[in-house]
Amino acid sequence: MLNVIKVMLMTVIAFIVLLPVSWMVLSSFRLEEEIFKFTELGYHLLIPENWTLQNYRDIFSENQRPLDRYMLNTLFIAVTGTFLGLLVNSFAAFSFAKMRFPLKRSLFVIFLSTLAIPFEAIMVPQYMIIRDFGWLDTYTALIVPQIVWAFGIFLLVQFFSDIPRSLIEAARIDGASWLTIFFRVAVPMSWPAIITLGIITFVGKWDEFLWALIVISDDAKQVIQIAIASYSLETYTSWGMVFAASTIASIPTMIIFLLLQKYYIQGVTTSGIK
Amino acid sequence: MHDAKAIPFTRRKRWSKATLTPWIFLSPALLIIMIFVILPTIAGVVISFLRYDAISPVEFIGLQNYKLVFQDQLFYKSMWITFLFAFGSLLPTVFISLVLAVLLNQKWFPFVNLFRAVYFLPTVVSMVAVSFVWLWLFNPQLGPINPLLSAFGISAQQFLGDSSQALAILILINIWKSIGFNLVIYLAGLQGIDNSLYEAARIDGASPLQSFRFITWPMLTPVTFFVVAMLIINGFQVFDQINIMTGGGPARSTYAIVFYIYQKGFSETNFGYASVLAVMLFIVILVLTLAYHRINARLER
Repeated sequence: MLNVIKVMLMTVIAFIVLLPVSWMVLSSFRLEEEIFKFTELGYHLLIPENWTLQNYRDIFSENQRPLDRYMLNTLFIAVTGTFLGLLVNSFAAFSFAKMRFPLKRSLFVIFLSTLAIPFEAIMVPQYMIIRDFGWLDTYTALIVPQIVWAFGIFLLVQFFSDIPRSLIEAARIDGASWLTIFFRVAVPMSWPAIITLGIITFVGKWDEFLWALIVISDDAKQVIQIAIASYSLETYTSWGMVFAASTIASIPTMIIFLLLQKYYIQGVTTSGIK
Repeated sequence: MHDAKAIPFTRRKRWSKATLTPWIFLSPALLIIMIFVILPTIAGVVISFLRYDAISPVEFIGLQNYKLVFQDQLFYKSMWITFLFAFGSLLPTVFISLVLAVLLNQKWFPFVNLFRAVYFLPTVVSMVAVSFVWLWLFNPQLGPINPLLSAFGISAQQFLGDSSQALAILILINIWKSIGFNLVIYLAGLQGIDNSLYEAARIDGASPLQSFRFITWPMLTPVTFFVVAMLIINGFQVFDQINIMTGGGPARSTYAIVFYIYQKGFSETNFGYASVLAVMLFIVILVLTLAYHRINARLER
């Protein structure tokens, strides 16, 4: 009896979670005039009356602003940003975890202390620096300033620290360079952390809104989340297009989480519990 | 100098390949963090002492901006709204995620992966998309929530158009979106608890509630701390949904601090005043971080 109540509770919450997302996906297959047609409770409130791909055709065929351009822009930013982020952060983490150099502790403290500085608290001066560098309306502005992520370095240091010192010394005696040790020993032993960081960075870039709003004003260089928001104007919102673009924009993140969730959970858990 | 001969030697040693290598690994990160985090932080504090807007020339005005901010009703209001948002989302999210994780973590239940995937769904949808979906659901005339409420005999509501409801709705949506991520972390934490603890408790005649109180909850303390920290930080950074759903309104009832900074800095191009607001946000986050470490250290002892 108790178990029945438990399952019922879980199912009810599952529906509450699922319904809004289903509404979004299903409504993307409705014609604009149908989206607000059904205001009474009933079958067609959720399920389209006339299924159509018109919204999808519209978002890809808009002359001025086709969605595929924004998808490619964002994909480029996300992939480059993730790749550079992983490289730079894991290099730094590796030096903190396994190398000896002066000022190491103080530098590590400086890195960690940036965790307490949210991006929002420095976005104004960050914008001014980007402006003075002449980086406004460039992808560089969306990629470079956010490459370093102290939490990521912290997470990777924990993983790298678990690598036995003897293993690294043995490799050093065999004549392996630090770069070889990094790629052949440290990286393969830390996949959960690296994949976790990769996912968080990629999804963060893919979902970026505020920073793009600030540094990009050239329509041709805009990112996907702003493109979605731009289907909604002060006077009129094309809901069908908003929902179609939102659905498409959710697919990459969904695939990434589904494929890599095992590593992701492992990585996040380690960081949370350690 | 009698040890003059030693200097070239040490200098050579200092710049040998072995001592240089760590810096090669570290320098890209160091350079970026210096230019794009440390420098803006310092610059932000400096700018907060300047008159720096679109109209008048840049000028040092001392504590003038700070005087203004302490008299600024909207500043207090936006801080209060941000607090309400962050802490209002906190308890329900922790509670629901934990309960769902405990429910999912039962051996007899076969659909763990399916349910976990469903609960995780809002996490993979961007805040922008989520904002639009809920904007439509909560549309007073055309959305489905008013008809749903009328089925329970509740009269039609204005939702985001009502200044007494808008913030609560944003909190509700935030909870809805945050549950999945935190549930996954709790679930992993639960799976890390040694089963023999529960068996020992059962033999001693502990009820399920007691074993939750005396085993699960204390064992999950580090997880809870992580979850709480992430939720508070995310809560203070709320922007996307406000920008899309309410624009800070109605009657500025959802005017959170980051939205205020954005408005001052980028709509009014008043960098000086935006920087003071940012310094204030930074101080509040710093105090919260210190308090967090205090409590964390005390619990670990």
